[in-house]
Amino acid sequence: MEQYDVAVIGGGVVGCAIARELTQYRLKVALLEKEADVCRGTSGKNSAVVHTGFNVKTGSLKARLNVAGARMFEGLCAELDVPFKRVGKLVTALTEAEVPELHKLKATGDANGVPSLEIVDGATVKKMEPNVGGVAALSVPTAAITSPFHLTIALAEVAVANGADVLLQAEVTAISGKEGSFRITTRRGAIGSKLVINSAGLYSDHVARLAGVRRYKVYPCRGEYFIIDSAKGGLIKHMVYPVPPKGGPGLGVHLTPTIDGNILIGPSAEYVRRKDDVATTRAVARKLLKEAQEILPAISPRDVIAAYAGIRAKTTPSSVGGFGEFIIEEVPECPGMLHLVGIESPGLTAAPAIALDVAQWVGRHLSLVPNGHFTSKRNGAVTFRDLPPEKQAELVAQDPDYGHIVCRCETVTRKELKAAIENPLGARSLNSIKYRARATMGRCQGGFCGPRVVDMLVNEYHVPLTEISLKGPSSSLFAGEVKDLTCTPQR
Amino acid sequence: MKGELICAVCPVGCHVTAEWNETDLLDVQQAACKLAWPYIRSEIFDPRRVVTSSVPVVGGEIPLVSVKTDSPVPKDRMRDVMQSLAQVTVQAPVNVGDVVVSNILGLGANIRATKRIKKVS
Amino acid sequence: MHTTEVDVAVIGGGPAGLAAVTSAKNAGAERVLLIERDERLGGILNQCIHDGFGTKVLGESITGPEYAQIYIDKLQEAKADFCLNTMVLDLTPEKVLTVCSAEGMRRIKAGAVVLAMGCRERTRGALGIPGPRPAGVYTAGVVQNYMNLRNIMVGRQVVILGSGDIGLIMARRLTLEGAKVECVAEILPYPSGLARNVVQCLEDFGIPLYLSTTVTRIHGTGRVKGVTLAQVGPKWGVKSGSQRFVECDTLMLSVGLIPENELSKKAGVALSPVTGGAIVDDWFQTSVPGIFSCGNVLHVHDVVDYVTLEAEAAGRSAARYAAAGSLPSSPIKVKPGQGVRYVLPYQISGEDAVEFSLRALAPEKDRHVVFRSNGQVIRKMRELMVAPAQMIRVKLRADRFPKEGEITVEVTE
Repeated sequence: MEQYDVAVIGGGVVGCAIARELTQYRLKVALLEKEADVCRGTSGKNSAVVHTGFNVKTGSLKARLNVAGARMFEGLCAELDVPFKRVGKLVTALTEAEVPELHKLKATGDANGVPSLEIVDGATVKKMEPNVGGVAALSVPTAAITSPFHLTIALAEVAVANGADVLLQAEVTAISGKEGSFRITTRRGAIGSKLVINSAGLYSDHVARLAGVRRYKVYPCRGEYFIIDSAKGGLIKHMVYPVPPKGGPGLGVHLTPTIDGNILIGPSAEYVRRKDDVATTRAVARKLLKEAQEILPAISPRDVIAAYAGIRAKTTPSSVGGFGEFIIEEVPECPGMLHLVGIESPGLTAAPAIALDVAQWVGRHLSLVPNGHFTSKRNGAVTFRDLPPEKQAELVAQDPDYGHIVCRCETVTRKELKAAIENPLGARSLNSIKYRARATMGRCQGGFCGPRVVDMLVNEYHVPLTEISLKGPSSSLFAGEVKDLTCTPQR
Repeated sequence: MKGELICAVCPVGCHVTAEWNETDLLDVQQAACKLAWPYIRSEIFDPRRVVTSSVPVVGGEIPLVSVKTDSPVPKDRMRDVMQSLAQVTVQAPVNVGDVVVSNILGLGANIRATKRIKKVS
Repeated sequence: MHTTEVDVAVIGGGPAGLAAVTSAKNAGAERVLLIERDERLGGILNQCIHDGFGTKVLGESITGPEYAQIYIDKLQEAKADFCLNTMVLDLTPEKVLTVCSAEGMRRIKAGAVVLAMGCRERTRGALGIPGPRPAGVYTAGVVQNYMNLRNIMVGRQVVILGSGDIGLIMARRLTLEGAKVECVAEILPYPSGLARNVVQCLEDFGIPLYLSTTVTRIHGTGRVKGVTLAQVGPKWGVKSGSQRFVECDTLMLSVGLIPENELSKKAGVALSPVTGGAIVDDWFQTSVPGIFSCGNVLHVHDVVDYVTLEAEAAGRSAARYAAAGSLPSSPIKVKPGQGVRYVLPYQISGEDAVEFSLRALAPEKDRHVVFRSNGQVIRKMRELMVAPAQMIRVKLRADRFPKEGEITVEVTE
């Protein structure tokens, strides 16, 4: 049985940030993820926003980690070569009656130490966002957008590069033992670990129970989104939010530009029974579009290219609503195990700061000795599409694989696809490739490049046809061959 | 005998009522034009279809070559033709019109390639 | 970056591009170039192995690959140049193309450009079908590609949404290859595909066609486990109590095609919100002088033969433009009137006879297509039946046209 110093359960952005943070020290670290890739849960299904912390309760742990995380974010993204864009945010009041709410938000933000907040009038809103209505807005110039996929993948890759083991499809089924000698049973076998970190997101209550800790309950609260064609991406420059609904479990339906030039509409907020119920629904779809059109009338249903849903890991049940506090604690029932529960929004923003706190906790149990060769510098994938033509021509001259465009909607080259397929985590599903190289993500949703990516997997990487999946073993894409090609010719 | 059929001669697609006995078509109602008669007659007494499919090709640039029957075969023999084709493989190169199976199942139709497949080493 | 010059550049090597480049060459354009992103010419025809192509232009019914080969042979006879595995990354209003292939990137300055990029399929995302996102949801063209070009069977138990011709053709193809096609669901009260395909692809195999029916939910998290079908009433509202679960491992969509005009937009070509394609005159010239459009990138066709005819005309115009530097103006506007969804071309020169393409708004029996100008009926013809899915083609001689003003086209009693 492989022995580790620290086992991190959950390959979301928080778990991966923790794993990366810990690999700075002389520690043997394992990251256990139940899915076929990292970032498959809530981390990959949100608004991709780096929040500033203007709407979080002053003095809370959440406020501290949010503001601290936001400060670290840009530097971390630069180091990891992950997209980060400070596009700014406008919280718009559609009626005069909502204006006092803006002032309240500004006061909270000022108290939390959020810089440069400003209330602007309707004319200024019009100037900043010509296509958006509103009588006034809270301008939040430091709010930013990122790519949660690239960030989470980058964090995991840096952890691996610095010696961590990332075990995919390794759902934890049992935890026994005690501090110094935990035994963690997974679907890929058992490992031993001195400390355990439960960053299992939606399933953190379940993982805690495996270790005999019964005090947590996570309530899944679904948020549905639409993705708008990048052809309409120019309609807004900033994130545009409504005044948050009072006591509601979410931030209200907002419009968020994405790193790839699309606009996200969403999310809704609806408590659901199952933690894996990421279905989208017709009723919510209608409501989202209607609310989005109130803010941005130029959007039409024809611009929608895809929809998705994510689930918030809430500690407040529907009867209570609102937002709970982040829970990050070691409890007497199980010393040596740290639980991270209820890390909902702004968990993505807070992740780097959470990782620092968690490292401190580890330091109280094991000595943190810098290993001397840690490097967080990472060269991300080249995005051919975004380069100027002269630079593109140079790359093609160097490597013909850059000249072979496989995905036409997103202009993804064969070179980029190869890099995505050969990723250090060994994730080979179509979605893993999509989130790394954008192929199948565009307006044709893989109609053109899907078969070409499959060709590469079969012919060059020798993946058996029936093992090619959308997102892991239970999602095979194909039933087999049409004709048996093993017959002998007989013409 | 009496039955309802769709006339597929043209895009209009008339839903017709036809009446016939053992040897001949007696009446066609609700058809927009006369062309329905010969079509309905053949659909009742000898319905035929062109079968198109593909067969594996060895040493070709793609794994399959598309094929067709070069004349229509009885509709109720389509499955037999498919089953018979399941045993067939060809060798690249292939040209459009190449006979892959002659007189398949004695039905009087040949299976011909409909695509040019270059040979790759 | 290296720049070369051509007289006519044609983007896309499917049926439209093949016909356009060959006719441009035959019309006297010296240096022509067809640019294709795939590794072979013929476009979507390569995977359309069923028959039914060519009845209008060749007088016989042949398969897609055979049809493609005929026009590839014509291209080679004409000695028209082409390149494969080459993607056009950019097109400017000055008709400068930036193209990319493994051999390198280069610029091509063209005297005239013909857009022939075809169309793409509407996807689940565009439809917004509720439910989780399992594997096993495919568009019909993708299923056809996997089956006919790559020897891959996508599933064994299939529900088809949409009764477009590709969907019907694939119902038969899947059945013949051993899959169970549970049903075809069509949200409209009538099938979208040809009667011939309803008979030969569904009835022949006992596959039920449910009209006024749609998929209201996809089930399954890993792979599709089934779908919920429901009947729809007027305005497509779901009839309560009509929902039922149908088990399947695959949902195949055949729900429409969208002209692929991203490159056209880069060149500033004005598009019609109705067709999604360029606004052209009777020369098939777009709003950008010297840029022409034809085939499915212009408007979605139901018959490839008409694509060929249209593309041949566009190729001739492009050759003439490349030689002369301009074409006669098109002052006469053509507008859709009552009962007409769209009519092409949008404006005409009046110089020559024009073959109009139009689509009706709703299926109806025994109609008249009426062309009017300045209050006068200039042409009236009877149609036994009109349907939105079937393009109506009407040729008008030049002497019927007014000197200027407007022509309206109606489909009436």
